[in-house]
Amino acid sequence: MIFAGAASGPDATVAMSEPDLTAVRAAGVARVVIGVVVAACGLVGAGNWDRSVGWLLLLIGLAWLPWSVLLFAVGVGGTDRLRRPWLAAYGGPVGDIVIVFAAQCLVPWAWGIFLLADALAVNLAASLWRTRDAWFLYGFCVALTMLAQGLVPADQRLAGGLLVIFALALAGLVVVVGRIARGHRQVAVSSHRFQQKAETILARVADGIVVTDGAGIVREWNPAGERLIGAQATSALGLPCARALGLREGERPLECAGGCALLGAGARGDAGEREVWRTLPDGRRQPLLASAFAVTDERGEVEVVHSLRDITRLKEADEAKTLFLATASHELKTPVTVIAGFAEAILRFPSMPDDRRAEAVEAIHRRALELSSIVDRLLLSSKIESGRVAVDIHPVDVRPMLNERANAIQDASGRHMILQVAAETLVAHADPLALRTVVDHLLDNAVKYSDGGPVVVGAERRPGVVVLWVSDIGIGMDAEQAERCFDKFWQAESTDVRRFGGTGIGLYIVSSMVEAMGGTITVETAVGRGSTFTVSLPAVGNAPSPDHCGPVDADVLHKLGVLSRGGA
Amino acid sequence: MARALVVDDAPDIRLLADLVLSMAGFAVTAASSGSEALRLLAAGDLPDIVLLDVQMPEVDGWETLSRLRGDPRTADLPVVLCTVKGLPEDTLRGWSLGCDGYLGKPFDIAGLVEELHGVLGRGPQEREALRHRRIAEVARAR
Repeated sequence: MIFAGAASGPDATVAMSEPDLTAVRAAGVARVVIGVVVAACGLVGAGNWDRSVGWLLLLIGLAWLPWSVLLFAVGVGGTDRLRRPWLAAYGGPVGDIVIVFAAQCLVPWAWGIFLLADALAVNLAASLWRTRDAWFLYGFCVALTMLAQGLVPADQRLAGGLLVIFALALAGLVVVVGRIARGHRQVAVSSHRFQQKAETILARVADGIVVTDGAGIVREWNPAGERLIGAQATSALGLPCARALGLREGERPLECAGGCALLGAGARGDAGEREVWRTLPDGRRQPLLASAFAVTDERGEVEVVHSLRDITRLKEADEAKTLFLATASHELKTPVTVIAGFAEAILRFPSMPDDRRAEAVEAIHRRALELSSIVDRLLLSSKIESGRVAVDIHPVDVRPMLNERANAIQDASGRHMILQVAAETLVAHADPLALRTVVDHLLDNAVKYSDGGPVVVGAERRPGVVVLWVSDIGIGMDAEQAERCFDKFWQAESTDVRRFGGTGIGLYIVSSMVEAMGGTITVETAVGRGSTFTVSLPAVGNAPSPDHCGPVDADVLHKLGVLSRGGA
Repeated sequence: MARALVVDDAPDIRLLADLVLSMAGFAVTAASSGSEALRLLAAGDLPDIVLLDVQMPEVDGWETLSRLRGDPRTADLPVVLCTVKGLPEDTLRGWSLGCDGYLGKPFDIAGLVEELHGVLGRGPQEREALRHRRIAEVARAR
């Protein structure tokens, strides 16, 4: 799995408390000084007091010095990669304990032991605590040792010194071993957790992550990255990034040969995200937002992490919006032409005959109303889109509403409306305004897409539902058109041989409204034979029957605010 | 008196063009579709200029224009396209099909009259040259 070694890198130790470098340095200096003193004592002692003890001290001092210098060097010197504070902190005391016991074995002499005990104490203290505390402890250890030396009888001083040394060493050992063990356990636990977290994040993140080495050779990827690499996933390892991903920017392939092209983008100070694309196995273009950054791996080598986000859906939404704007602006242009044209004509030709002026004003009025209704429709569709339409469900008597709307549209369009409303009670759970919008749109469409024939408006009660329908004997639609007719921005005629204007959002609005009211809408149609749109709404007094009221899309209801109002 | 044929499926646009062009001294005939326009042109005398909408039922403006250009009798008939379609690819298509003027909707009526007079003032060769110039311009802009 990707980044298996991520937690074992230099960064991993940051998670735990690192020994203070000041303490390490202090301990290093102290132990070097003590080593020199011991060696000097040995040199002086060998000449003046006791030859064998002197030589032994000299030997201890000399053995101690390189060890101390080495620890000091690795503890504080060099780069991050050379610095090993843990070795310096724990290596010192452990080495000291070894040397002390070696000395004990060789010469059980209290004076040397006293020195060694002090040295051990200062080292332990400086290593384990912060510097200032270390000197307190150092003083305490010296005092304790001297006390032990003073309290016990002269002939038992050896035993007393040994006891103190032994106790200190044991305590130090326990503390040191405990700290090392805890540190390692912490490193292990935190590194394991870090690794799990990193893996979960990488596995779940929607962006494809593909890691290459500095030369652009693919090394690792996450599951989303694997989906991008696709069929070649098994063979992508070791391939150059350019071949494994095949990214293109504009019409040119994205070059990795002279260093990752994406890396350069970030370095120039912009966001570093570039819009690129690749060809899918089926030949389609997949647009991606790509960026890259460099990291150092656990061996100190440069790796390039590529982040690739699939923006197909964004692009599609963007194109749909563009198409919508184009259609909408076309639809707006015709009424504006009429309004602006006649208004200008009235201004420009004051001598215009009265009947022509009347025609002009009437055209302006009619087209202004049309503009207003187009704008209303656009606003409504944008409200539906953003989920800001809430329906207010009441019992609605369908019959008077249908009568009223059919008469209004018959008057406005001059087309004959045939009403086939059943004589029974037709009360549905609906939002009166939304239902009126639905009926108006269906009637408008029926008038628009039929050539002067009558429009049939009907309603009846079926088990659990109130059904209303609007039929025309107009141009109708084929099966594919019927399937897509409720899609947003869709129009049966997309070429310039259009008989009918429109923004392509009417039926989208209708179906969204019907769904919001907990109803369903269907269409029966055939080319040249007209269309019948049938709306089923839950009837009042009956639980909706599953046969006639299809499952309501909870998402849509929620989106339209129905669920949050306590259900339809 | 110059004779103009106005072709548009929207009755009020026909009415507007009729009003404006009559006031400007044209004798105006109107057709509500490409097919009606072609029928009128095939049957009677040719007008001096045609004002042609693009989006129309059955036979659209593109089709009407290319049929007019394909017929030797109407190949040189001045045609001004008048449409809501204003994208570069639309104008390019219009000029390539052989229009003599391209007027975007909404238009101001002074501009409409000016455009028709401008086209009428050019001879066939001048109109051909303008067409090439416009095609080159649109192609460059794209």
